[in-house]
Amino acid sequence: MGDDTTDQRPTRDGTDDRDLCDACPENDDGVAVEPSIFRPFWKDARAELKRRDYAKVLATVGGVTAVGSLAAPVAGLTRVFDRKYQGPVYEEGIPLVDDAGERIAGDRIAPGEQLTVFPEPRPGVEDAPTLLVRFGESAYGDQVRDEYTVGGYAAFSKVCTHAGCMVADRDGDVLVCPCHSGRFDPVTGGQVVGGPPPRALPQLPITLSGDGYLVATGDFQGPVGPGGE
Amino acid sequence: MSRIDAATDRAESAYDWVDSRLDLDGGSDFLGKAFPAEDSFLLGEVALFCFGILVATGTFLAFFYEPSNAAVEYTGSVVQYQGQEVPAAFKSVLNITYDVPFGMFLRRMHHWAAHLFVASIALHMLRVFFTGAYRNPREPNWVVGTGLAGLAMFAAYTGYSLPYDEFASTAVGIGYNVAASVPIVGDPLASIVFGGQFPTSATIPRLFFLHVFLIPAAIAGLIAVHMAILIRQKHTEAQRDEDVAVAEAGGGTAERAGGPEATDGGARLIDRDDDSVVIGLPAFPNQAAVSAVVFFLTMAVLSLLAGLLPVHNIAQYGPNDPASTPSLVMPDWFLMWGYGFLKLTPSWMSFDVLGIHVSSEFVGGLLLPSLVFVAVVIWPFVDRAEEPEHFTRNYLDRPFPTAVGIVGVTLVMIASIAGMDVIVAEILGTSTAALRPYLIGALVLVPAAAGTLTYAVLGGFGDGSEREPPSTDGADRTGSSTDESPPPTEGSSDD
Repeated sequence: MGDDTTDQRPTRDGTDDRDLCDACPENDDGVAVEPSIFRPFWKDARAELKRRDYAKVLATVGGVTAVGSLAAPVAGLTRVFDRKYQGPVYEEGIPLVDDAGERIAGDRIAPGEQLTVFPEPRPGVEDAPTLLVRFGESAYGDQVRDEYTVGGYAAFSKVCTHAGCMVADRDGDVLVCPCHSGRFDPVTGGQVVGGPPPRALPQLPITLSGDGYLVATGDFQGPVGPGGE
Repeated sequence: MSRIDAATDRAESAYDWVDSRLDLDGGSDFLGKAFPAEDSFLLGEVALFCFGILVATGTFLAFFYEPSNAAVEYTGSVVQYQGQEVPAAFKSVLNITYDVPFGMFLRRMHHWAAHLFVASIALHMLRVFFTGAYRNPREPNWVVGTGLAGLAMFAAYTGYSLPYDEFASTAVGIGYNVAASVPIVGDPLASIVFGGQFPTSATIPRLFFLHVFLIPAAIAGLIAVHMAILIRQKHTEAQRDEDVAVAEAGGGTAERAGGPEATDGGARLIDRDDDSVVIGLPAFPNQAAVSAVVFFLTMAVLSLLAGLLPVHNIAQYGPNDPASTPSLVMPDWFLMWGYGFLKLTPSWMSFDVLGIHVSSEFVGGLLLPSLVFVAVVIWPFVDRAEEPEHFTRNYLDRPFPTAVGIVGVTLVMIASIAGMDVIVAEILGTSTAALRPYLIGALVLVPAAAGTLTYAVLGGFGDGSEREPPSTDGADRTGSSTDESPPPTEGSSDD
């Protein structure tokens, strides 16, 4: 008990400043005095203060619990129903198709051009925009594994690794994202050469199938889109 | 009894009926509330009226809007999309624009009102900042106002997303990825706001609900708090040029409502430095008339803009194309500075702290803009006044706060230019990559130089002697209404 409570302790003669009973005998000054032996415990200032503290603690705990239990259902808002397909987008032998669904022949585009392609639709896989570029066969640097390119073609995920926009622009040979001017160099395997993107565009290993169309030989070499280090 | 008398009688008995139940006379003191006659003090009113117009036009639009990205066949009157599968939201906005009577006008009006809402809030904040009106005791209202500015921008973002055109879907995608990039809470946050990994069918309904209910409700609530604090604290007032003679205050509404010229013998002289009284126009009828003029001017400007200038022409933009992003994609002007931060934040600015990854899109898209907002919020506690201040100050007399304000304004301007780097590069005939280092340099140097220059020109480096505030227009400030300002420290009421 601190000093603050001792001040409120009733004085020894029983004349504290609280209500006094009418039936009690009066002292010499004409003030009703309650005999200390009959003092009800609930008039003890020390006990009163303690009870009040307990009440505060209980009210606080109860209140926080009540509010907390009301807030808990907010967690339910994170429930997502529209789960995204998580499996591989491309697999060995999946053909690349253009937006009309046509397969890509080996002479579809000339060096220096680009085309947006997709995996040939199959259950679960919808759009996985893929950027097909073509350069001279000797243009690619050492960073690019030979088996990832074919006939000067290289394919990358079109989803920018920064904020998920489509890398749709071009500045010379450099692929530029129109959203925040992120720059990727296709001849070095989609490495970031400017702007805010944190990592390279994942490359798609491709080859020419027996009937002369471009097909994937595996999935993207890294996570598609933002996040996913 | 003439017809006019009868009408007056009926009006009076109707008033009595209401008065006996709601005690209107008891609140009549409020009609004498003094509004200092400063034109720049009306910017907040413009924002308030814009909000009303936004609610009214938005209600109309919501009757037709369909919050869904499900593909439906378009059968409306825009030939280029007839028979095509487009998102339902896009289709409904096309219908509003081209097939609902007055739909195009009201949609454009809603859009322009949103622009004016944010613009008037920004100008209102600048006015309050540069006149020092945020100081003691008005810090709480500055904080509330900053919250309103942030909510207005969030409301504009969610509204921008709703048509689900090519630009809108790009904006949603960027917003989703910025939200998801927040360390630790990013995934749940993005799931709550966007309903799962973008693009998903849950996104548009969530943004719709935020846009038409939660954010407007929050804005309305904060406006109520903003107004309540304003009424409780009274207006600030520009420095008076001289002692001002006004009609005796406190003599009842009749005198107060008498207009600026009514002095009826009870004129008293308000001391030039008397900060216990606000001198201005009484709320009714003078300020009410001024506000009505402001309201109709706001409506007129918005009608003119909506009638003559197309805005966000979604038929031209086309529906969301998940495989492409338009070259000139950029947000509305008031989000451009945040967009600029996103563009300029270099990739090396992502780092790991205690195993938590802090990515550059979080730094540029949320952290830096948030820091700007935090700086705005804490500013009145940095540039603080120990005693309550009644008068606004001339910005020329406050070298340091004015310089800080200039730093803030130039920073936002340079960041906005960086957000438009594609256009800048086109004009200068260069590439965005070549422009980048200059923009980063300008983002640091220009605000610093502008701030230093402002500070120097205003004599901040000099002997520091406070100059006498130069006189401003005092002619139209001699209103009849005086408002006893609350004496928070001393009882200086002279009623």
